[in-house]
Amino acid sequence: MGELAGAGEIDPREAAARRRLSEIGTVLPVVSSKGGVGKSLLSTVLALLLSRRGYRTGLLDLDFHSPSVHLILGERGEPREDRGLLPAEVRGLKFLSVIHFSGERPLLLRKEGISSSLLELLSTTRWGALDYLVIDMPPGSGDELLELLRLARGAEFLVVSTPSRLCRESVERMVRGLREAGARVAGVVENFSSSPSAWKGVRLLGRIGYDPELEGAVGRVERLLQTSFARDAEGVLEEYLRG
Amino acid sequence: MHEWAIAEGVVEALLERGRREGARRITRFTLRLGEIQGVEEELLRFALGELSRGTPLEGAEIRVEREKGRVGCRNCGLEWSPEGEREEALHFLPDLLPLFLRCPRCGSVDLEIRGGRGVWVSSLELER
Repeated sequence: MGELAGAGEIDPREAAARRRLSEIGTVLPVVSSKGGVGKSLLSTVLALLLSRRGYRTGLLDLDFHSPSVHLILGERGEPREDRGLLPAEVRGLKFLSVIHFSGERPLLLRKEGISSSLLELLSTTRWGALDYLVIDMPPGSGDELLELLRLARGAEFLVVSTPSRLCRESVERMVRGLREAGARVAGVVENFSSSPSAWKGVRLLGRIGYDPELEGAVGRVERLLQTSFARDAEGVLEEYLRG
Repeated sequence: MHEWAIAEGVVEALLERGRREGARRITRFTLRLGEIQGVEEELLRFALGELSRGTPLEGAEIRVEREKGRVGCRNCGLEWSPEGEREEALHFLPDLLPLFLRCPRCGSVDLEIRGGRGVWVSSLELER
């Protein structure tokens, strides 16, 4: 008979999530300390642009309380089950969102359920060979961010801000927090930008101006990619890829 | 066959723990299967057997304990075990169970899972 090992139970999802994430070229979470700054639109457009450049790209909507990437894409597709969870395929992207499981139900969820669901998705989703996994994160520095910091050690965080002092101050604090946690910060994107403003201590990947046409392009990918928002996002992507 | 992905996690976690403990073999382990996720034991055992081949886990005895799903209402305190047909979504994300329920006593939607969520390794035995 063997010897009883260790104390405490093992959550088998942890090891699986770390391994699956380590198999992805670059995990690119799009984060911000504030809501309403354009994370979902930027995540989606960046993923589409990466895909059009020939990169194998996944797009994961981890905003459990307010998923919206499926609205921007105009379709959600269906994930399949095959030795795990295979993401939906939409517009050349591998796409997964809580919406695939919640349907239209109100997302009244406490943080324990969200952290656990995040771990479940990361541990059982078979993304396959990916160059980039873009993650649309919920606003703030809560459980989802902390879970990702723990599980995706090599992730490169792209931080979205607006020019407002109300946003900049907390974004700068978030950047410091990410660095203190040992994370790589790819840089800041300033959305709703109208005039050049200086960013100290963090790389500015680019500015995106207010685009009145953008709302009309939600759900229409071809039109979305013709907007000035997408053109500015292309500049952000080029700057990011320059390294 | 979602059980395969779960089995991959179990095998990886056990081998990782075995390495850390300096184990030559893992001889026995116990899995706790929460009923909310609806994991099929036979499929899970099959996947575990396949994935263990050629590893220190090969041939290990697998014990399975089943844990009933328990949900608590944070409004009125009622705790109960949900019955009835299981939503397919819960196979993938069992933590979404509260979205599909209301408290049968007060109607609240502020619910939490108190047991029977997913798959855990509750014990393991090894040879050094």
